[in-house]
Amino acid sequence: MKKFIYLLPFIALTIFSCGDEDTVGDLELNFVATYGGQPIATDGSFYDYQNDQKIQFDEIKFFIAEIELENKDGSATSISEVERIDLSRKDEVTAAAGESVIFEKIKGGDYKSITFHIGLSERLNNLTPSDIDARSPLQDGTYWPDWGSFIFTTITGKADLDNNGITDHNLVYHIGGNQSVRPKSFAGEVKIEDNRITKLDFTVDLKEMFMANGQPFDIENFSAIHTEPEIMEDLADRMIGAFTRN
Amino acid sequence: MNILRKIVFFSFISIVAIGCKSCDPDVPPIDPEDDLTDIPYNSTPYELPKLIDFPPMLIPDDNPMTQEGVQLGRMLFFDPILSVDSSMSCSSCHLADKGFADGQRFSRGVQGGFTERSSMAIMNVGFIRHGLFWDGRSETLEDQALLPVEDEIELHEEWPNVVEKFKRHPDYPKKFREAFGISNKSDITKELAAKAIAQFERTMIVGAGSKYYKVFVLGDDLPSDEELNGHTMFFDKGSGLPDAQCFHCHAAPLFTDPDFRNNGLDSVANVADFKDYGRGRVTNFPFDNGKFAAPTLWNIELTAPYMHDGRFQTLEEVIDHYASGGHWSPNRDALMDSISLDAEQKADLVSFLKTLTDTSFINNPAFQSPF
Repeated sequence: MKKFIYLLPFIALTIFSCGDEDTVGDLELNFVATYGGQPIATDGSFYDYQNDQKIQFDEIKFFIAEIELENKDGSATSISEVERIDLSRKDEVTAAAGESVIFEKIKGGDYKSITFHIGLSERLNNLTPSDIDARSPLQDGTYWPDWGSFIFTTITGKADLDNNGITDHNLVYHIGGNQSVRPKSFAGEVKIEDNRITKLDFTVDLKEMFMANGQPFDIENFSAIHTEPEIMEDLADRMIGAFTRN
Repeated sequence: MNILRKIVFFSFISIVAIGCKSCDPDVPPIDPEDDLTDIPYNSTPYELPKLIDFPPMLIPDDNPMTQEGVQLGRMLFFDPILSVDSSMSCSSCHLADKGFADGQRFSRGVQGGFTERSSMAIMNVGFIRHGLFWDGRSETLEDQALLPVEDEIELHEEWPNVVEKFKRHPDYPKKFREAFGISNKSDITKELAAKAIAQFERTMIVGAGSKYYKVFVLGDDLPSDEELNGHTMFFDKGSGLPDAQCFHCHAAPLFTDPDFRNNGLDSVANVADFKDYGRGRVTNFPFDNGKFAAPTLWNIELTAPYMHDGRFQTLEEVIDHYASGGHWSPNRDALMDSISLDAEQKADLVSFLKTLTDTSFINNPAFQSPF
């Protein structure tokens, strides 16, 4: 019996040294919407656009899909099919906290990057709500039957173009359609450890979207976009530029 | 030996404890007449009808649909037993011929007072997943069903009284047993009553009998020119007609929207100035003041007056309002913008909206009073 007790540490060591095969941890993805680094509040706060013009935000929502961790051998570990992120926040404090999605029991290991689609992959976007489980994030009222697409990204707000403190221009940007999905890979180690939560932080800076590379998006002439494919693709490209992994 | 002593000791303590409990004057004695176990409990699953394009309904795991639950819920929905003076039921403000609204700006409660908002039409409510009532204060139908009973304007009763009435009722104990498998009358609770009402309300699915469904979903009928034009404008399909933008907040097939919006009904300079805070009262977020749910447009022809305060009597008035872009306020929804529509185009939109009328729903015997 005593011999068995002496063997216990050895047995334990053997069991727990079998690599990451049997280890699982949780992965938290946190998203914060900012404008030039300032957390965005949907409380009527104004943010600089151009020429003393201001914009404010009401809704900031988007899908991310086909979330995967890339293994060092190039293979991928699937994390989630789709998530809906809503960054509409009532003040700067809650905006700075952002929104997290947590994935439990992810296979342990050292991964070299995380990838996801901003928007829905064609496979998902070709579904309709009647095909989908009642608990799916896709059942969030974002499907437009006549468009044959979910709304991938919703950004709405208003603008004060004559800088008098009163909004005079509505902004409605609905991005969708298979041409508007943008996969993005975020390089950098992702270490999933046994019984631990690994947190990855992402910033979505909408100044990068509306003022990308010094090229302001023309909100005056394109204030409501939900069908124009070219403008939508431009917005989708700008949106992908807004994402950074911290 | 030690172990044996412990067993004897704890057995003694347990017997004393149980004995004391049975003498406790606060615990009512079990009346054998309240026992319900002689009544068979074999609930039958209820299959909801499936309409093309409709999403699956989210059914709570702890309240599966059964024939018996729906039957009990229907009885409770129509039974004035829920009100303080047995004068009103849920159905008093949700009338079939009014599309399960009540045709009034504000509903009159049991003691003559008026509610502060218009009665909402009950149909397709099982699909709503972002809050019920105009302000979304109830997350589930089970929660929603509890509130009107104790509302001092509406039914003005207290749930403990209602539950006592159920227990004394000649039929309800048996119905609760058949629906939920309870063993004793004392197991009847307000939560079970709410579950039954929620089950009944989930069966109230509208659409299949409408012209919209036959024309635009099944393709079994043809629209009139006016209806087709209205459809084109409603869904921004172009063809030289204006985009009326309606579908943003009333997307098919449910013709509603998960968000709460300020649709420009009132002009205020500050969001604190709204007379009715609406969603803001629930979230305590001032920028949610003046925001309300976008109700379904199914059977909209039957559910006048319109808006949370019933300020518009006709669909023509509603369309005039939206075409105007509504009144400015700091949080007026970004989707509210003026739209240029002539009289004929407005009439075409009304024609299209009337294709959403489903009289087979309001005349369905399953949704009429069982009494």
